[in-house]
Amino acid sequence: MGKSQLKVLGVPIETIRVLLRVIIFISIAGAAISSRLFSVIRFESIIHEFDPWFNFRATKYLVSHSFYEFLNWFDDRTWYPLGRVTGGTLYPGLMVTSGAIWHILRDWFSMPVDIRNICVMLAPAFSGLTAIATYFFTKEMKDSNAGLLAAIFMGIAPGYISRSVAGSYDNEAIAITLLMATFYFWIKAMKLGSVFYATWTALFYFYMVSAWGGYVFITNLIPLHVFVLILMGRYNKKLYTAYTTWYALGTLASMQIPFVGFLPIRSNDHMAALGVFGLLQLVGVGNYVKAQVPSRQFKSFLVVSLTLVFLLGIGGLFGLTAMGWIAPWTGRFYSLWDTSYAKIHIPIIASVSEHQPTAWPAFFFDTSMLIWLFPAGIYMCFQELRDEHVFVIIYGVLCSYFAGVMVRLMLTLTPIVCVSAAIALSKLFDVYLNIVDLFTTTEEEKGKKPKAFPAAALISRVVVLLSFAFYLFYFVLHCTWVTSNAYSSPSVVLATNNPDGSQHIIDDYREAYYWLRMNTPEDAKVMAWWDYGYQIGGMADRTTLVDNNTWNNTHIATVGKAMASPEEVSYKIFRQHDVDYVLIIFGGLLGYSGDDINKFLWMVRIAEGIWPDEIHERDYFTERGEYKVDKDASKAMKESLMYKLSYYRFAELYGGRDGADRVRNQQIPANDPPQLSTVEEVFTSENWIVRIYKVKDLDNVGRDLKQATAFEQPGASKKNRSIKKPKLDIRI
Amino acid sequence: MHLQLFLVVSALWTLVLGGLTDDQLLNIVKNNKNKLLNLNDENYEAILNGPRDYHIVAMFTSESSHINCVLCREIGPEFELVANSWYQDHPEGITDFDPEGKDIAPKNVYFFKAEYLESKNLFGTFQLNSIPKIFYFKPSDKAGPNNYQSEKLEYQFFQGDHKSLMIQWLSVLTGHHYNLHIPIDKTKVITNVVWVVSSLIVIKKFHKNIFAVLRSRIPWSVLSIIATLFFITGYMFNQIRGTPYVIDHDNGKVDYFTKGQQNQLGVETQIMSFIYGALGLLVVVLIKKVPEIKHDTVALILVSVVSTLIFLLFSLILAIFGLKGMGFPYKFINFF
Repeated sequence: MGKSQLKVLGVPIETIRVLLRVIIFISIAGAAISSRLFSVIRFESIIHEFDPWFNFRATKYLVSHSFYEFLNWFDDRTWYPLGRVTGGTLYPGLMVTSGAIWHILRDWFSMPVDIRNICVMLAPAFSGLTAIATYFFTKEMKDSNAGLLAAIFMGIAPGYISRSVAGSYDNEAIAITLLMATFYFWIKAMKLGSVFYATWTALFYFYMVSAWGGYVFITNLIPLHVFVLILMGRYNKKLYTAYTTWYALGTLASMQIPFVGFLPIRSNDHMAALGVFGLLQLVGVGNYVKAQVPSRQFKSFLVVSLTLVFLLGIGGLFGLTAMGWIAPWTGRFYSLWDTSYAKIHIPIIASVSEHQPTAWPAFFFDTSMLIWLFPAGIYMCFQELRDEHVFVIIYGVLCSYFAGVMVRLMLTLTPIVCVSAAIALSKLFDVYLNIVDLFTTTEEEKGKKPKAFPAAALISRVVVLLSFAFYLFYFVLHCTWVTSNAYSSPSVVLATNNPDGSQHIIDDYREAYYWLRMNTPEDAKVMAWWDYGYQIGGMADRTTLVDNNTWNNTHIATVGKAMASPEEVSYKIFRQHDVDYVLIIFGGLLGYSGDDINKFLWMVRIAEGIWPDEIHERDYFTERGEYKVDKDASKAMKESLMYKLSYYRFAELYGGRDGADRVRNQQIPANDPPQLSTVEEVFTSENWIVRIYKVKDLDNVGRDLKQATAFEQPGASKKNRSIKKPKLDIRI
Repeated sequence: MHLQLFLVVSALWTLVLGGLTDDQLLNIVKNNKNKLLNLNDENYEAILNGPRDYHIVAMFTSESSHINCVLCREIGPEFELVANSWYQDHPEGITDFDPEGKDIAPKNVYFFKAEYLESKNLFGTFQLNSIPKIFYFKPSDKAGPNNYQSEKLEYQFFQGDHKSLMIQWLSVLTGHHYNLHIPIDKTKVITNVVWVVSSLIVIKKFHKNIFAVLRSRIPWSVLSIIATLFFITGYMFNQIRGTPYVIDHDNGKVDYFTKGQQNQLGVETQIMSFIYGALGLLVVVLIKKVPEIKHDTVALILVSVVSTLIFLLFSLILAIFGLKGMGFPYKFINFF
């Protein structure tokens, strides 16, 4: 039978294939998007966590101003009184993407969609595109069958969902899509030696650079791939064309991003790409010389030139680094290789939970059965070992190391786990799915006696297929459960269950931020720990002193000092920084462990780093070295502003008995309640999670505020005015 | 040996007179190769009982595998470094005893280390609940037993680099200035040199075979897959956190798994990498080996065996994962 005759219902089989593929794509995108909507359905269309709130605010600025105004944006509503050069210190890719979508929908389709909804839905929408990019990437590795499997895995794998649920409007939301697209175009360019595809690689690389700091991963992985190929003796002109095109265009393009600037030629993170670029030229010249001169002379040429290049390269790198022309590697880079580096040198990196090493349950949690198909897929790549398979192997091994060191990098491991698992699984299906060939007879067998019914072969195929179909079914259950339970909480709104099983929403954050927005002057300055800076800026629209950008350590330390010092010292800081309101997070009533008292030691430590003679971490511990807030709490602890603000009037809730702090399981003494004189309580949310205090103005009569408060307090002056009963003698 | 003898003799001596004198201790330190002196059940009364004319810093620790104290192993070398650095600066003890112009009268400092297994009585008298502990005992005139209990000051383990924190703490207490002399590990240098030279010789001699191995794909694939298996089962977690291999309980019970998604034991890496590896291998058998079998019935038997094994191992993973206790609801077979 010829191929042209294959028709079903008069339609060529290829057309049907394409149709089916499109339908499958649409279903995959549908599955990917819908599994990310848990939080929108449970709560509402809302931006999650902390960083997304800044991205959201920046996007709003972008759509209400012009693009150039956005790039030159100087934000005077954060880091008061310093301000922040926001336009030059962010990756604009994410905001520009949603801004473009907003404009297209409004101007071309006349659909006035709220920018918030675009921001919320951007990550799910891009996850659909990621699935498609993964399909094309995997198709280059094996075929479209493997591609479809990889696409569906990528669509619903929790490792990726964790950073791309609706509302998680963060750089990673679009970065993984761009990562996979860049890799696909790279593979294509390298295979074909095509300038066209290499240009696409560079374009997507540029987009990636504009969107996420993790672009350094691409900057190093592609050169490594080329380097390994050269070592394997697989250098050819296609490789040369693809790499040089990508490197030249990609580097030039990436330097257009203001935040990146001249990093690509100055930072050591980018030196591998430059080195491989140089190496390729040398290998190219070497190949040319080899073709022109006899082999003996070529050998001596090779030895001399290699030694020279090696010495020059190493010397140049060290020399330039020593002269300060090249920036040394960043701390995060060191902490990837020398695993104890961060612990000793940069406690702030060591303290962030995203930078912790990964235990095995996290891998299984995030990828389920794919994690054990992953090594099998790597093995399959070794079996064929074409140039593109080398890429998968390098990516797989390297990234499983990175993901093991830093839990946050699970995100970059997930795509390659999906791809390898899909390769393995699709090989398995290639062998077992084709039931038809059991019944067809080959040319030689024709004319012989008819074969017996192939029962054994059929059963063995059915066994394998059914069991793996069952595993795949289970995989979907696993992914849905994980997504629904672990990755779908907006963290701005908390949900708990009442004793009767019904849901109870704890909405203190938004309650408080809304109060700020409605009840304070528009130019009020709010002091809070940096974690809440973006949220105050985004939800309450008030000026903050520090936020999650953490670019100025001294400023953060100032806030830390104000929180850790006695009221009189803090008041000076308040006056110096025009602070009108102080906002703290307190979880003691509800048992919410992410509150400020638990973060308090970081404030003390960071403040101690700048004012070592005024703040001492040891003072905040009891004699026995314990961190206590009850009656044993140390003097510095009890006098610190943070302690007072947290437990002010706390014991009153318990009607004269000691207050119970449910986070630290300690008793707050009722007989010695904290007194405040320089600030007054203006707002406490329903569950006491957010407490806001107003900073008092200077006293009218020039007393210090402590005296003034003491004077105004009822009962304070009573003593003097107590009327004595007149002494009367008993009359007789 | 010398030290032990000396200490026993002086212990008898102190029954009459109380603590050792500064000269006696200095002699012991000078004659002893290890500058960190041993404190144990036999000598602690002689050393800690007053009166004393010098500072004592003692670390209470245990490096035995029974106790499995991670922090002890971390602190031990740093404490030793501080002690050795002090003696390197002052091999003859301090010479300038002039208290003029100083807050604290200068006195010698001696560093001690007590190992729990050798000094259970000592640890008992101190009623320690946790180790490691570092205590400081100031110079004292009071004679008599157990005065040291009230004179001790405890070092607090705060976040940071303990070498420098300890030095800060000590210089506040003793009034001395401390330097850190981080020694170059000679054995490490020598082994490295030997290693490099010998590998160069090996390369020179067998370079053809080595290149053949390097070019072969089998060693590379084995290496990559084993590395991947270890990395995805928390090998780096064990390295960074220094997790114990298993947890031994007093009643002889041994824990192989701990709870928590971000927690594990050393043995878990081995178990899980074995299971993952076995599963991967079985899938490869299904893909590569089964189609090569011509006989349908043999193939069926192999397929059934392999499929059953895959099912069992996968169920085992789920069961173990359920043990980690996150309310994970899925399970094929109830193993535990």
